[in-house]
Amino acid sequence: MLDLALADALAWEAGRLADIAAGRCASSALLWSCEPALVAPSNLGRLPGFARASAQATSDGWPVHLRSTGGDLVPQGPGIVNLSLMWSAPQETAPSIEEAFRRLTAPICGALSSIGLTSSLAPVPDAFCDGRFNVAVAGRKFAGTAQRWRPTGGGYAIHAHAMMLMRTPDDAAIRALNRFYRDCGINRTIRASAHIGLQDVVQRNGTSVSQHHFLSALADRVQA
Amino acid sequence: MATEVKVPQDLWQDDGMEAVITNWLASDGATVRKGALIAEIMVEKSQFEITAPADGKLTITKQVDDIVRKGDVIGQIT
Repeated sequence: MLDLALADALAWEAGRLADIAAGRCASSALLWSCEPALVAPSNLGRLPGFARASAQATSDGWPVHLRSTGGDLVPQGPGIVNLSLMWSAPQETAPSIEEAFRRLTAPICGALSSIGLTSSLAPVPDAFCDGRFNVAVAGRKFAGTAQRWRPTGGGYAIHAHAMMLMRTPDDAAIRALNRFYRDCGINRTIRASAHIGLQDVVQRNGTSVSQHHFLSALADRVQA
Repeated sequence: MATEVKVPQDLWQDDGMEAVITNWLASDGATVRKGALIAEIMVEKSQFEITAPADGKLTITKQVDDIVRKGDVIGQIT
């Protein structure tokens, strides 16, 4: 896993998706982590309150970045590990969006299973960036997912991204998300209790599995 | 002859699912080249790039934040 500056990670994703779209490589995967920040899909940047909300978040220690995948606002930081998965798909064998989410989440669910944890794909009310293809553990959000698709003439370049919680988001992160929504005039409240980090899952289960075990199991499955 | 700019028919499985136009990257009336990125739609937390299907002048028929379904026409190129 790489520790990257968030801006560098986003630039790497953009560059690699361009490489795949241009046929310079067929697939790519990266596990990475970065400094504390808020990351929003680019369409949120059009909101009238976005500039003010971003300035406030930055002054509170949460600089705001825009990303190219869909979804909603998320935190980033040392307690979060990201999986960026990209591949090219010819038109005739291209997956649907749902199938692409399953390709992204299968190694995550498999790695959780390998350390004795049961997971499912489900929405989690009050979680940040909620969606049908969250990876949920004990009914709480463990990983969020999003995608970007680029037509390439003969098919698609697909970027599927998951952000996985190694630690349950703390109050500071949740406050930053809710403050940002409020400053943007969006009526949405995120609750910390809707999420669960790997460390908390492991503690609840009384097992001695480390983050390293999970990430090794995940890397094995992504490379397979 | 006009060429329709359409939301792909096979992009997602659930026929009831709707997408939203999140961005037009070419203006109404602009001249576009085949293959150029002209719009983005978002469905199920997935951002999908719409490229021009032909060379010509773009007429936008669906606006940013409009809801669209599989196969919907969002513009024309003449």
